Amino acid sequence: MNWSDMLHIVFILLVYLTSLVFFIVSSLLVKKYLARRNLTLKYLTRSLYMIFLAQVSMSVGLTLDYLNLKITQGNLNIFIALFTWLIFMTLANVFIVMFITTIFIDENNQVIITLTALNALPLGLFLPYISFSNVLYTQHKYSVLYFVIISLLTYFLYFIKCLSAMRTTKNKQVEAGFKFMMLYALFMIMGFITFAFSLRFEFLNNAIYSPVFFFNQVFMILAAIFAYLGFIYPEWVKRITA
Amino acid sequence: MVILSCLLEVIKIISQNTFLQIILLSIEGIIALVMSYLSLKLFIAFRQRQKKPIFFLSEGMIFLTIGIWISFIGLFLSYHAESSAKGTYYAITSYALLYFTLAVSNIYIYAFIEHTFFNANHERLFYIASIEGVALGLMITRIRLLPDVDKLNPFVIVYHVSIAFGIYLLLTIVSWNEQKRTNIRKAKYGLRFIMLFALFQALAYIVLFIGMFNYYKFGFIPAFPIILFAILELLASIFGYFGYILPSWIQNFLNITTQEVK
Repeated sequence: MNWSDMLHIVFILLVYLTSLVFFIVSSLLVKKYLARRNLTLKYLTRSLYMIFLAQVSMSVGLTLDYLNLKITQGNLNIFIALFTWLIFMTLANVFIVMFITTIFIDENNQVIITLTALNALPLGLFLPYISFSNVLYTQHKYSVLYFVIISLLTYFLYFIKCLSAMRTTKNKQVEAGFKFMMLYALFMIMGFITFAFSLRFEFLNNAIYSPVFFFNQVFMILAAIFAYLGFIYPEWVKRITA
Repeated sequence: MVILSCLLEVIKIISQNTFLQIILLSIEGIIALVMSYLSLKLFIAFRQRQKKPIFFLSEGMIFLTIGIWISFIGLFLSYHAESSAKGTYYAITSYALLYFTLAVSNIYIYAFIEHTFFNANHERLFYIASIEGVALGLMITRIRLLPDVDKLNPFVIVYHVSIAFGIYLLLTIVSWNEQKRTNIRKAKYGLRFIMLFALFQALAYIVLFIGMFNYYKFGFIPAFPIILFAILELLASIFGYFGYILPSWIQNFLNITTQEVK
C-alpha cells in the first residue's frame, strides 16, 4: 500500500466518521424530541438526519470509487454520490428553514413560504439529472451554484438570528446555547464554501481526495459537535457556562 | 378516445389558421389586460383592509396575470417566428415560464386557503411551499435560452398539474362545505364565488394538461388550449374578485343585506 492509497483510505474513513457523528447527534436529538415533543426539535432532527443520509451516500460513493466498482461504463460513482448528496442536503436545508422560521420568524408566513420554496427549488433542479451520465455536473454547475448560494443565505440568516437573540437575552445558559447554535451555523457556512471550492477545483478533474474537501468534512464534524452542544446542551456544558 | 382524437384534430385545424390565430391572440391580450385590472383591484383592496387572506389571493392573482402575459408574448413571438422550429421553441419556452409563474401563484393560493379556511398551519404551508419549490426547480431545468424543442418532460407537467389541481379541488371542497354551514347570506355568496373561482382554476389546469398532451401527440402546441386556459383563468379571476371584494352592484343585484337569514 503506497502513501496515496493510505491517504485515500484516511479520507474515506473521515467521511464515514462525519456520517457517524451526524447519526449520533441526530439520534440524541430524537431522544430529546420524544421527551419534549417540540416542533423546532422535530425539524432540526430531520435536518440533521438528512445531512447524515447525505454523508452516507457520499461515503458509499467514495468507497465504490476507491474499489473501482463500476455500475456502467466509466466510473460514475462520484457523480451519483454527489447528486444524492446534493438532494439530501437540499432536504436538510428545507428542514432547517422550517426550524429557523419556527423558532425566529413565527408570524410572517410570507417569509416562510418564500424561503421554503427557494430552498426546495434545487431539488427540482437536481431530480431530473440522476442518470448515468458523467456530463451531469459540467452541464448543471449553475444549479449547484444556486444550491450553494441559497444554502449560504439560509445559514447566514440563521447565524444573524442567533446573534440578535443572543444579544437580547440576559440568561447566561440561553446565551451560551445561542452561541453554540451560531457556531453550528458558522461551520455549516464554511462547509458549504469549501464544498463549492472543492467542486470548482476538484470534482471537475475527478480528484476529490484533496485538502479542500478534507476541510469540508472537518467543518461538518465541527458543525455536528456544536449542534450537539447547542441543542442537547449536556450537563457538563451547563456547569461550565453557569 | 374517438372524441379526444376528433377534438385534437379540431385543435390542429384551428391552430393552423392564421386569421383565427390573430383573433385568438387578441382574445389572449384582452384577457391579460382584464386580469391585470382585477389583480390591481385586489391588491388595492388588500392595501385598504390589510388582511392576510386578501394579500395571498392578490399575490396569487398577480402571478397568474404574469403567466397570462408571458403566454401572450410567447404566442405573439411564435406567430411571427422565422421558422416553425423557432415558433415551437417560443411556444415551449413561454409554456415553461407560464408553468413557473403558476407554481408561484399556487403557493400563494394555498396560503390563502390556509388563512381563510384553516388555522394557518405552518407545517402544511412548509410542505406545500417545498412541493411547489420542487416544481419551480423542475420548470427552470426546462427553460432554455436556445431553440431546443423536445425539452418539456411529461413527468414535470404531470407533477405540476396534479399538485395545482389538488390545491384547487381542496379549495372547491372547503368553500362548498363552509357555504353550507354559514347562515350569513353575504358570506354564503362570497364562498360560492370562491368555490367557482377554484372550480374554474381546476378546469383551467385540465385544459393546460390537454394542451401538453396535444404536444406529445402531434409535436406542437396549439393556441386553442392556451386561449381556453386564459378564458378559464379570466372567469376564475372574476369569481375570485367577487368572492373577496363583492362589489356593491353585485350585492344589489343579489339583494344581499348584512342581516342574517335562516
